[in-house]
Amino acid sequence: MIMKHHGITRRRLLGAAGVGAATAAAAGGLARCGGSRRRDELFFGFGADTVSLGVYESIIDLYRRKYPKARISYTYADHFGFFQRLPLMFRAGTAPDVMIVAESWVSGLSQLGGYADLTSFMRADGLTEDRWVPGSLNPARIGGEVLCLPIMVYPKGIAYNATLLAERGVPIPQPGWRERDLVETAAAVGSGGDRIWGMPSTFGLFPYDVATVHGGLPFSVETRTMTATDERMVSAVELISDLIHEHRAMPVGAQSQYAVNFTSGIFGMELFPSYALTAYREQIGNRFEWGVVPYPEEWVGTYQNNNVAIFGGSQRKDEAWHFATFLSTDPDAQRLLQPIGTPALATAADEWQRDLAPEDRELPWEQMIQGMGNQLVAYQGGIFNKVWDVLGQKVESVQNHAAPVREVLREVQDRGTEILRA
Amino acid sequence: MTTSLRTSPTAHTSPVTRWRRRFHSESAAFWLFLSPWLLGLVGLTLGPMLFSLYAAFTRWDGVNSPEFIGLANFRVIFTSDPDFWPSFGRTFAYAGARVVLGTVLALALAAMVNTRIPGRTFFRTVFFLPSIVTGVPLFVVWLWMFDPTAGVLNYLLGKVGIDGPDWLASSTWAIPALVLMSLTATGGAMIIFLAGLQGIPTELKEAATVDGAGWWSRFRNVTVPLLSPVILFNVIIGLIGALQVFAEPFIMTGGGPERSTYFFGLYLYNEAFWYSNVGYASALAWVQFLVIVLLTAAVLRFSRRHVHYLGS
Repeated sequence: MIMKHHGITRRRLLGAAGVGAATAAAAGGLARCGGSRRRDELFFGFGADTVSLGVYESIIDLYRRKYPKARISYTYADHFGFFQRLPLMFRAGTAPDVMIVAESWVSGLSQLGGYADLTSFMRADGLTEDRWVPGSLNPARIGGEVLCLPIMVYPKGIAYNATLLAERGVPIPQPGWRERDLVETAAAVGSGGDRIWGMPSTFGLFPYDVATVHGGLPFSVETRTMTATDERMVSAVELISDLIHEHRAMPVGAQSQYAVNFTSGIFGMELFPSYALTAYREQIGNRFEWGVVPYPEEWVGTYQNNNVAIFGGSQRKDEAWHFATFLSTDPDAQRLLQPIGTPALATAADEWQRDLAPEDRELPWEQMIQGMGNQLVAYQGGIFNKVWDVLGQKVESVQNHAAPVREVLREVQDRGTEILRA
Repeated sequence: MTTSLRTSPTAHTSPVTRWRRRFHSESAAFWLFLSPWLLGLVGLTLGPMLFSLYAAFTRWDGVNSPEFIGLANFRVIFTSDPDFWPSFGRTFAYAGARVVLGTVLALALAAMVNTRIPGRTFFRTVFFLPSIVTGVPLFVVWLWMFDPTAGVLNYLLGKVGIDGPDWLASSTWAIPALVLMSLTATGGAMIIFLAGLQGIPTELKEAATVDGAGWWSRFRNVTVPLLSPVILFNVIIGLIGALQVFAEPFIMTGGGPERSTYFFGLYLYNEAFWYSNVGYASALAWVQFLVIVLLTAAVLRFSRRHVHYLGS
């Protein structure tokens, strides 16, 4: 049998490479044409994980069903990736007509002029703040404009390990408690020196949660001046210092909670954001009993929510407004958001509480939601992030070395002033 | 006297024929197959590098139009930025420890698995495995291992009566912890050393043995000099990698505590993508690039007297 040898000649190789290149170019061209954005459609963008992607997709389906003539497409990325792309999309004019933005993104990116002012739309539709839970428009109001509508809120409280507290003979915190009660509880749990602590350091690991405890912020967004030496800031950082160094209620290392948090069972209490509810239930299981109590009476805290904004450069602002209000005020759309947060629409928030599992329904949602009305938006973005980082670094020095609080905050004030002036 | 009338063969061929010849020539294949990489180099590396060089002389937030400010960014970097010198110092301390310890460990492991010990293939595999694990999952696992309360490291230390430190929460222990972690990924360097060790002629070692040299003397006077080009390679590659350290502090410490792991790469990243100082970050990137180039050149220059090439 004669085997016919089919050698790969250079001509064949070049020909194959040429065909391959042409195919790739054609495929690339088709992919561009078949991208998710079409000029004749409203374009919606959001940051998402697998759960929230499904939620937003179901809302889009609902919108299409309710408004069959509406044409809408969408894009998404992971939360951080979406946040990082927004400035460039604003610059290039390719930002989605409608986008989901976290409370801190509103202030941070407002300086880029990417968000449309919704004041006139709200006035025309008679949309007022009382439609949503308290404080929902706080992050939206920047420079006299309203830059977004709320869709979800994340009420906060203090989670407590009831089993651990009982073992230590400490009373369970009750709504209406005071800061001194929190300190006593934390100290009683953490005083054993056995790596069981009253609370994790810095609560949620970020300086925002420390700064806003007593209603302080390290800077004023409006005047672009530093307020780090404000007495509310001083008392908040002193509280953390006392909990660590005087009462031994927190571990010294500010970062030792990166791997282990409240769900491990070694902390008596922790700041509890509502978005952690599912994770807490799954991670804690039946290992211990736990509950949530509203903040102590003196506390303010950091406001957190999610919003819908309209791109300032959108050519479809009316359609965008229609979809944005659908997300923010349609009861059915708000109901679909339940798996990923507390609906911002007041009536939907009530319904959300009723629909929770019995053990979750018992948590003091009403008080926590009402408490949001006073909470502060920890403005971020650009140069303000640098100020937050300086504050975080200095708070760590208080935590680790008992650095004098006033001196440390004076340093933050001076360095922050340099940063804001630059 | 005769005059040659011969001319170049191409002089009588048509342009179409010449084009065909070129198309079917080796150089055409060379450029065709090189082109994907070349396009990537120009479009994704050289182009952005040149643009960042321009951006280094501007005030630019990455969105609005850059404003040319001459050398102002560099003036701030070297005169008034409180983060520049400390972050550089930390990065050098980390890189020095990582490269020295990593090289010594990799060489020791390579020497060990180059012997005729039982199960050496198993050990080669085990030592190499950590270096093929993707960074982020590895860092997350190490986060757990370093945890002062629940981590396995302090658990093991506790078993021998040592109260382990708050590794990543302590400004004293954070850098040593990151160096310790990096040592588990020396498998790549170990393999290169192993290849180098196997390339050393056995006659030289045998000659040294005949001359009465012991194990250590052979290693120091025969193996190390002949392995010096490989050592140089690993040191340079390790140094370049260590000076660009970013993912470890980004994932594990965020630069803390108290900026004790705020390395240059993280500092640069924050300036660009967190503080929106893209122009300033570009200047920092060029400073980093030049430092690495100069340091590499210095190491190469130093190596002239200390690196021996077999047969040279």
